[in-house]
Amino acid sequence: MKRKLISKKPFEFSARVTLQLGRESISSSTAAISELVKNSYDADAANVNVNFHLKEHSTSSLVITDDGWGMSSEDLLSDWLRVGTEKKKSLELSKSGRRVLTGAKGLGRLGIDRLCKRLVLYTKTKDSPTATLLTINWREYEKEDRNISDVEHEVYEVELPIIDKYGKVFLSDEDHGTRLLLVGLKDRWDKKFLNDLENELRLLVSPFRSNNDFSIRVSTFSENENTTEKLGSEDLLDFSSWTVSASVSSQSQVSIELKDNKRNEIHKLDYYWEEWIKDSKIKHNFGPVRFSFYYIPQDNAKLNSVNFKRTDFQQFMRLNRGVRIYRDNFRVRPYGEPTGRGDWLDLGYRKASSPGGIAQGGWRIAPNQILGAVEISRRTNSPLNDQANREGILQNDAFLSLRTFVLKVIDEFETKAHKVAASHKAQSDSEQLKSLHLESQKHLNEASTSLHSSISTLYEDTISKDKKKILKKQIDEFEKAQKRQRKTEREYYESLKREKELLEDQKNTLSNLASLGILTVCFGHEIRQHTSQALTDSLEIWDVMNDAIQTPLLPVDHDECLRISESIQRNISYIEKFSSLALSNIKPDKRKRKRVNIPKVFRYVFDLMSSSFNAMDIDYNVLISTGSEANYNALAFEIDWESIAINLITNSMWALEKIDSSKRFIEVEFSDETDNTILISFRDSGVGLEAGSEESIFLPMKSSKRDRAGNVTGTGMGLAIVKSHIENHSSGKLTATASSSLGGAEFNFRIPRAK
Amino acid sequence: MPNEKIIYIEDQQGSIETFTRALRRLYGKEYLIEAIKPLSSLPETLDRILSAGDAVAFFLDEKLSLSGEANFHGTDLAEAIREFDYKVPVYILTSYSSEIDPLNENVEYILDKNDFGYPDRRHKIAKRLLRHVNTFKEIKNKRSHRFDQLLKKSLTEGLTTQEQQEYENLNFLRVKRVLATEEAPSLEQENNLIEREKIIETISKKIKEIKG
Repeated sequence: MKRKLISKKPFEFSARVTLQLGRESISSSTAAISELVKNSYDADAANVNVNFHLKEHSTSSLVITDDGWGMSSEDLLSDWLRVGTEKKKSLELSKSGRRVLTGAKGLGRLGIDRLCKRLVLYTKTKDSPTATLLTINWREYEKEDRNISDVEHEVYEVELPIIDKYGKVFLSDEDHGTRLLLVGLKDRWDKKFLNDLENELRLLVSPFRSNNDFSIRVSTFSENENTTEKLGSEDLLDFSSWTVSASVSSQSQVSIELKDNKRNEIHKLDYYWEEWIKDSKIKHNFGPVRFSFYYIPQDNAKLNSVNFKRTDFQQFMRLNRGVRIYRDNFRVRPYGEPTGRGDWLDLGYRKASSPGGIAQGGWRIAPNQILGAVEISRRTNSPLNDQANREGILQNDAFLSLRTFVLKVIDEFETKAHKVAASHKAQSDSEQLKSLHLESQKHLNEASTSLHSSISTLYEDTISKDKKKILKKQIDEFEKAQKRQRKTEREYYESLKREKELLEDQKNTLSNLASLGILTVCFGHEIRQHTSQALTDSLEIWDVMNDAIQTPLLPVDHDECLRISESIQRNISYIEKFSSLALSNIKPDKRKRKRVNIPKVFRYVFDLMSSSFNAMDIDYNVLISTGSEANYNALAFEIDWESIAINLITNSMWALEKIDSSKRFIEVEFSDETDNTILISFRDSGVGLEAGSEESIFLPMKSSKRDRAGNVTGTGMGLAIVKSHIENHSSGKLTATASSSLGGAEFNFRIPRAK
Repeated sequence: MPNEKIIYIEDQQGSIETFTRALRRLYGKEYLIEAIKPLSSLPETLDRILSAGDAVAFFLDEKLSLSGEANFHGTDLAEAIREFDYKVPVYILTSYSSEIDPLNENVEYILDKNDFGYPDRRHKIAKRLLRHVNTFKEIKNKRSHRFDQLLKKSLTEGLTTQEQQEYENLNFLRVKRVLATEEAPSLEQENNLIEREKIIETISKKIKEIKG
């Protein structure tokens, strides 16, 4: 086969393809303008002006001006005039690194053809002495038989100042940005159309107005009237399920208002800082501050009802989510920005550690459900200074305390919102089902009896013998079926009962294991101090012996050796006590519910902890206010009460560590509430609970143990397990009081007496 | 007899005994080991340990507030020590090493007390710390050598601006310890002063009486 090369040619595109591309990828004129404004957003502009110059009988035009980075002539030629550049695809953040890029396709400029006949573009970067001008006549693309590369656009370098009939463009070297002049608008921009446009553009603006965020101003100049409006997105806040506003005053008065927008209920909380945050290291040292936020979960039904697109809403949340800081109405960056230090509250991390839904315990708000603002002022919040490099606020004590304040307000909200959600959750009540079942059975029996009697009447009179036989047979069969049904029902019920018992049993085992877990955590913590001493001392003895063997003439200090041995003995015996407690609890008899003398359990645990008490100089007292100690018995698992006692005591030790050693005291008081109810009050002289946390401390994953930056450090499981032991297993009641007669926390147990 | 010190701050008597013995076993030949119990406030404690003498390293227990005497932690004390000496080795010694941020900027290492009970781990700790201490001593020597050099030059031919700055920095490190004690006189010292003042007053009165 012979062949010869005739020519080499690329695909040629008709110029019209450009227009088709633009028209197909951009759905409407409002979307086309929105894309242009997004370009300004991506260019880190702070202000965009969209000015319509509308004329009834001659050409209307539109001017879009921004103060973004602007383009150099090289940028314009290599990027802007090249359709489908990958630049925006590969970058996720704008040049300043502050914004998530919004315009995704790089096709926005092709949408201009839909809007107008001619485009005049001026652009300029900062410090450049000249600007660049580009004009595009879209009609050139419509001509038949033209290839895309045949259409050429003139690009000029223009000297400053530039002023035209639409106003000043660039005056000095300092100026920067881009101005698009769209001449010969194709659409009729009436009120309704402009309104649609404004609604679309609103989504790009933060609901919290400030002087240096992104702002859009839409103006119309027509023969009859001139209007101008700065767009805001405050209306979107109506979507929030909850609105929270909190403040701390210069007198350290904290007030929080939680507004449940669904049920239209307001919950108010007022505290003094010192009782709200008990850690004395976290002081209110940053001045008066206001913090408000909106909880906005995506609610599809609600979005549909107001004709809002899901993707638009998601974009709005993506651009505006997080908690921002505003100083005197100026946004302080990077707080609330999507990257790294922008999530200054670690909301993402908090959510990831506890991803459950709102009706589940330990619920945490997700970063894309919160829009929040912290308002500070240079005048009243002077400790919240900027870093030297201007990359945010100095990470000092005041800032960390502010962070703790904000996190704790969020915490208060989460507790409340969870409680409300959980209480409204539909509950399947087995008791209710049982009565429904009994009722329907009664109906069935009645129906069967009446059927039986009416058939019997029929039976007497009219029917032929054969039919009577058939009827009788059918009735018999029906009754047999009914009997069988009852029998299988009974069997089913019995098997459910057995299953329930089995589950009950498993629940008890799990609860025992939870107790053992608490014991292990508490003691594991206690023991480390003792193991370190015992180990180090035993190595010392080994060294002393080695010295004696190697240099027999060196005298051995016998007294020192005795002291070391005593220390080892003391520390090992502590460890032994714990191991015997842990092992004894594995014995089956400890895992049976029996009469437990509660004061005895407390005395046992106090004794167990005695060496720690000595080290910390803690005094304790078991007080029997009424009757005899022998009468304070409960039907329970012994291990549960041991773990309750240990849990309460270790919590107290934590709270007492922050108190002067002369004032460290724990008391357990036993009294008769009624003949059948025992009241046990456990109190200490520690720092007490944080005000308002009397209920929330029992929720799983809640802990008031915080580190310096306000992050919660405790496991938050101890008191949740204690509460479940008392209320689910012992038919008792457990409540907490923030500060007792001793000054610290108090826990009150009300439990049925075992006689 | 060594005269440079390693200072160990601890509030629990049992731990003081055990770990002073362990530190003595490791560094006793080269250095004096001195255990000091924390006083109730941070400035008082800082004052006490800075006046204890020439320290080449500090070991700080973390839970200093456990016995209720002090109201601060070892890491707080480390931060205060850093204010005075940027380079002296500081270690946290604790049974709860996992509870402290391992990246704490003020200390060299967070050491677990349990590691002192194993010969191999103890050996590694000892080597590592001796290296720190020796480096620090070299720095101290260089500092004092350079100070002498600059002092001589300042007396004979005068210093350039840069040298003047360096000289002042070095001088600051020398006198800062003294300043610390002066800045924060303990309550005890203050009372002493008041008492002495009273005595002087009575004496001068008596002298006047005798004269009169």
